[in-house]
Formats: sequence, C-alpha cells, structure tokens
Amino acid sequence: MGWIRQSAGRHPQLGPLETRLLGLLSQRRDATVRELLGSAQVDAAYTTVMTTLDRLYKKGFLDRSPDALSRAFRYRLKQGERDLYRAVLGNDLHDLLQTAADPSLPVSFLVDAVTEHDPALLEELRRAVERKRQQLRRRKQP
Amino acid sequence: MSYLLRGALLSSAAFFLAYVLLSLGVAGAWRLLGRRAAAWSASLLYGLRALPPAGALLFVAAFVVPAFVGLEPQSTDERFGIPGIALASAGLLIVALGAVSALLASWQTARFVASCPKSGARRRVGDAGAGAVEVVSAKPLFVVAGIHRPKLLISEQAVRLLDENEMRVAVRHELAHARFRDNLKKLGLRAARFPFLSGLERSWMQAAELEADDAAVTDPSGALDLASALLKIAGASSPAPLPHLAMSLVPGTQSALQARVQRLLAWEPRRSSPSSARQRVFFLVFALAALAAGYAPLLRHVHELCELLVR
Repeated sequence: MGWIRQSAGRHPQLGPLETRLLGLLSQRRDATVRELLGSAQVDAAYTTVMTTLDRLYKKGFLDRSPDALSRAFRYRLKQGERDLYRAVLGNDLHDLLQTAADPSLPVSFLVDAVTEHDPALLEELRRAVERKRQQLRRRKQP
Repeated sequence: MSYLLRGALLSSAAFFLAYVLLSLGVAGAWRLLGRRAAAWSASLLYGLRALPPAGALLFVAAFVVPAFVGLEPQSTDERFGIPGIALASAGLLIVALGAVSALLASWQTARFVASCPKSGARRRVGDAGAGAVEVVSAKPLFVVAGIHRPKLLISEQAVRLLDENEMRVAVRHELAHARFRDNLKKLGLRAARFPFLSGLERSWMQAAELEADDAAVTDPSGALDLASALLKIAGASSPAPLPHLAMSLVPGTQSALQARVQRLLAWEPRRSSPSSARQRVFFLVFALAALAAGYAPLLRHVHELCELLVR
C-alpha cells in the first residue's frame, strides 16, 4: 500500500470514518452531527464525528453553515459526488496503474471488489424479505 | 462511375451522416432528460437507443434510395467529390465494424455456452416448461445466453441454493428475457455502438431486468421468492464473467441489486392500460398520413441534399 503514502503530499488522505461520513453526506443533501448519529449508520462518539467533520471541512471537502434550529453546524459536500470521488481517487488510481508491472492486475482486483456484493447489505435485505414474508403470512391467517 | 456504384456510395454517405446526427441528438437528449428518462420502460429506452441506426436505415431506404432511383438520370457524368467518398467510406466502415462486433459477440457467447460442462442430462426445472442445461461451475450461475434458441444455464450450486418456489420464479424471470428477445436486442446494440450512449444502454439493461421481474412475478409471495433467490445467488459469491449476449439473474452492481429487491418488497399488481396500444396505432396512422401527403416534395429535397453532399 505504499502508493497511498506516496501520494499523500498531493491529496489529503481519508480515513475510514472520514470516507464513511462523506458517503453518508453524499446520500443526503446536508446533515448535522446529531442527524448523522441518528441515522444509526455511524458507530462513533458525538465528539469524534464532530472533530472528523471539522477536519473534512478544513481539508476542503465540506461546506458548513449554522443550523437554524440548533447551535450546531450543518455540513454538506462542497463538490458533487462525482467530483469528490475524482478528487479522492483519481491520482491514486493513476499512480497505482503506473507503478504496477501488469496494469490489468489491479484493474481486475478493482472489478472484483466493485462487483462483489456487501454481505452486510445482503443480510439487511434478507431480513427485510423475511419480515415481509411474516407480514404476508399474518395477513393470510383468519 | 456506374449508376449502381454511385447509388451505393450515396446511400452509405447518407447513412453515415444520418446515423451520426441522430446518435448525437439522442446522446444530447439523454443528457438533458437525465434521471427522469432513467425511469422509462425498457421498450421506450431501447427505442431511444435504437433510434439512430433504425432511423438512419429508414431514412436511406424510404428517402435516399427512392429519390436516387426516381430522380437521378441513368446516364450522367456526375462525379463523386472527396467529401462524398470520405462520408461513404465512413458509412461502410461503421457498418463493417458493427458487423464484426456483433459476430464476435455471437461467437464469444456460443463458445461460452459450449464450454459450460454439462453435469448430466437436461432436466426440467420449475413449472415453466423449460429444459434447463445444468452446468457444473465453481460460481453460482443463472443466465439465459444466446439468441437463436437461447439456453438457460443454471449451475449445480444455484440448484442447491434455491428452494422450489425460488427456482420456479427465477426460471420464469430468465425465460421472460428469452421471450422479450433481450439478447437479440443486445446484439443490436453491439452492432450499433456509439460513444456517449453507454448510460442509456445501462438504463435499458436495468429496465429490462425490472420488466423480466414483472413478467415472472404474479403475486406478493412470488415477489418475495424472487427477491430471496436474488439474494441467495448474489450472496454465494461474486458474479462470474459472462459473455455479451447473456442476461444474468443477478445484476452486476450492488445498487441495482438493492433497487430490484426493494422494488420486489413493495410489489403490487400491475394495472394494464388498454388505451396505450390504441394511442400508438393512432400516432402511427397519423405519422404515415402526414408522410404520404408530403412524400413527393420531400423526395426532391432529399435528392437535392444528396447532390450537395457528394459533390
């Protein structure tokens, strides 16, 4: 993973929580720290999320404005989702392909990673199917 | 230059121009319409994608050739200019590349089907009356492949994973693809490739999956069986590489899988709209009547345009 560190000088690197928060903010228009925690998709303390969002703001990924209802900041993506991923991944991918002896190898792994289905999501959907099946059974019972 | 050769070159040049202009028009319209058009039905999306090649062919067959035959004198010393020859060559090149691409896709698919090791005799799966070729494969496979007599390929692993109801509805889904001739439509796309239209093609593919879901499912419990089958096959392993002319039960991307399962969870009986067929016939008759009224003057204009084109 040396290629990640090599390119750190040109692009701010993102940690797992930063990536997760950017992903969540790309799904919604904007959000406060409390709203992000309320979605139950972030497993971190309030202050950790607040600090991470502040860091993303300073890195130039987010815009923020005071929330009308609370005293907290409301964060939103500074650029579109496409531009965000281009900025984060573009050069790193380029470096990866440049340094690989056989560029088709990282690409094939990338395709595998993209096409593989997330087990957590599949489990969540499986549970939803089961819930719906139970509802149907209950409705059929007199 | 002989009369026939001149006609052929003129047709090729006109086809190229019409094809490129229509393709750019469709690509621009697709960009403008954006997400709204992504929710269109599969037939509408495919119609939009097929418009450039079909429209260009229709233009040549209905206007350029009749205008040439009717208005071009047999004995003329008119010569083809460089731009005309360049356009005609480009038209021939596009047709040749399309034909090669379509042939390669057919060959690759036929090889894929032939290379699938059959585990035994064909056996009937589900109540759909389909003879399914069972395939030994390391990864779960549930696809319908090929154009002429498309084959339903199901791996041993998929047979073990799905229960009887899930198998029945999954087979119906794949057979719907065969009935809608989706692989033939894919062959058409291979033959008429054009940059900037891949987004439209992806949207059609997704809509074709939804249409096959609708054809396979007849009640809420069937919808849940299909959703469950999708999740079981998707969860067993990452999708195996497939040939171009094949439709897989499980989509390649996670977002498409999620959207399909959620749609199946919210399944409701479809309402048929008998008026839409009547509207289509009315529109067709109106368009043909309008065309017939202005056909003769239109041919003259097309001929003049063609003369300009090849000089």
